[in-house]
Amino acid sequence: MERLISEANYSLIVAKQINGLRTLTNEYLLYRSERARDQWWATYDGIGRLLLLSEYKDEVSKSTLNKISETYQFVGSNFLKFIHADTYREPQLSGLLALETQELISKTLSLVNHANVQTDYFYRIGRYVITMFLASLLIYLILNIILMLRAVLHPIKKIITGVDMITKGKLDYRIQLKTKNEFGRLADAFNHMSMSLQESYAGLEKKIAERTQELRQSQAKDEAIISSFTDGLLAVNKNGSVMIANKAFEKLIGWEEHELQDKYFFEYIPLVSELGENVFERDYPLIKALKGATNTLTVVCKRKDGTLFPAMISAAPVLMKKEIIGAIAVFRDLTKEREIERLRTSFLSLASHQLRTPLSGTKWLIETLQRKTIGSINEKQAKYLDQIYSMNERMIRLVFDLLNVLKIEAGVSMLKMENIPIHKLFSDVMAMVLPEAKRRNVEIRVETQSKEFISIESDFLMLRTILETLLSNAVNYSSEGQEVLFSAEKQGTSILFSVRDHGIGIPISEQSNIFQKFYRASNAASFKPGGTGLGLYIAGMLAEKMGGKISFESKENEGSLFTLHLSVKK
Amino acid sequence: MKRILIAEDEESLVTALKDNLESEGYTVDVAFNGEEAIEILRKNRTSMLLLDLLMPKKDGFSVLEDVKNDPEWKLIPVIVLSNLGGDNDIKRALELGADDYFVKSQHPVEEVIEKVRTFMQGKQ
Repeated sequence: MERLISEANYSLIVAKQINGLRTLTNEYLLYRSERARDQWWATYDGIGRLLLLSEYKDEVSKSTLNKISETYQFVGSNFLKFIHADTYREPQLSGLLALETQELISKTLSLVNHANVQTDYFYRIGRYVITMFLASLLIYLILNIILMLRAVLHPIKKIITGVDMITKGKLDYRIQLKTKNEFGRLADAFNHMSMSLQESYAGLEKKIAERTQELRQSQAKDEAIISSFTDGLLAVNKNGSVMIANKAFEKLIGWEEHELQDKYFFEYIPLVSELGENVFERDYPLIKALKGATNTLTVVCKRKDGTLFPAMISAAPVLMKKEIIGAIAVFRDLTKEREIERLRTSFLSLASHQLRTPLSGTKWLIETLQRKTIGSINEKQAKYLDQIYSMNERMIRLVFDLLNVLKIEAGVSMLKMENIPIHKLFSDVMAMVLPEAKRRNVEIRVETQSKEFISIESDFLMLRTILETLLSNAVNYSSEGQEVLFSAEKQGTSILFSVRDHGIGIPISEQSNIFQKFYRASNAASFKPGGTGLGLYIAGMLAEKMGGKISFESKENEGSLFTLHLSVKK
Repeated sequence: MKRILIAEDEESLVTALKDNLESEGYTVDVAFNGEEAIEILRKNRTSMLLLDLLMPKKDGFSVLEDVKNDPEWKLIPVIVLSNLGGDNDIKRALELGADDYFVKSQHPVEEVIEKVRTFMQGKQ
């Protein structure tokens, strides 16, 4: 029963039960059956339970419920009294009690109905109000949420649109949002950002344009430099493929840049040595440069059309962050230089010949006179002839020295290495210097460790010239009767040629100058040493050319010791 | 009769050489250029040739070549007397068959005379 009434209106159920009770009361009054009586009490108990239900209590007010309970209790007690009176045959009393019971039941019923009506009424109003309230609250909330969402989503959408536009690159887009809340401020901030972005972008674009312009100019400048470079320029990458070949190179070699582009340079620019032998690939300057070595090679190149020309190739590696990314080579056409060299050499040759010819003429004429071939001469005449001869010899030596200086300075003299027997060297030098030594009455003593070394590998002429100069100087700056020591010895990997004299020496203050052209020490003036003043200069230059050096020690009035140091490649 | 031919265009040198050689007892012929030299060689039986290299009309190298290629003349000793001091010139002269080479300005005439004597004695 309780399950059935869980959803129902309890008051109606109670009312219904009380109605049922009234019906049962009537039935008992009529038939006085035990069944009716039992039913009556069952129903009465049931109602009583109902009245106690909390659900029912919820439906009625407390005061009403008390009244109902009270009245209902009288119903029960009255009926009991009725049954008692009825059982004990008191018709008047039983009749009264029966009536009262009916009245009480009616009262209870009306109370219940009244409460029901009340509760129902209140309930329904309440329910209605609550429902309406909740509904309106819900609607209000929903509206609010929608409004809020709109208030939020709308600006967010606008902002997202704004971001999207900016991302797409439309930097002049501005968010139109004038609300006076955080979104409005966000929109403002966003617009400010866009504006500054636009400005800086414009500024950046300008800078890029400027920079690109600068780079283009710089590149144009580089290209101008490379193309106007008068020597051939060839640039290759680390694999040897041609990257750049400038105009001068194209002219020189005959290949055009586009023909060489990306090709392995080695196959297009064959080199041969000046003697006509092929140059090994590993010796090519660019190959060496690609391995990291800066180097130069004087060589002969073959043009596209097969013709040859002499060239000097200088190559260097191109580094980026210490890594070799390629190599660059400069090709210098030596044809003109060689021509100039040839001309200069032939000029020097001719000049020397032209100068020597008259001098040799006078030399032999004077000698002929001195020999008395064409007649005798007296002492005085002999002396004059000696002096004339001496002057003439000086001039010959001067011409010789001057031409040597010119040759050395032109870089024309090349080392001619040969095996020189020491004794030949010494005898030649002595032959040159002895006449003068005899005249001055100066003795030359020769000391060689002939057991140690018999020959030397060197340039004969250069070595002879140096030694002649040193020995000649020693003789010229010695006084009569003095001795000059001429020696050679081996010291480790060097050979030392020494000339020692005990003559006038060189003042310390002037010692740093003696290798200069035409330098003559102050104390030599009165000495009349002869010579051209170029001797030591030439000797010094030649020694340098041979990879050696001349050192000396000297003390005024005590003499000098000059030493030529030469290293031997053995 | 020992005939010596001097082929030299410089007069002073010719004078000196000639006088010195004649005082030694040699007969001296003189040519002032290469052409004259060949002419005299054809004309006279020459025992020795003193040859300058730079001469007009026909230079010493050319004369040297002709002499050394001639079956009869190639036996004549030739001393080159030149002021060309370059290694190439000396080398070339010697390769063409010159028997000696003197750079005039560097040697006294005495040496030349000495050399002539040596060659002449050798011939005997």
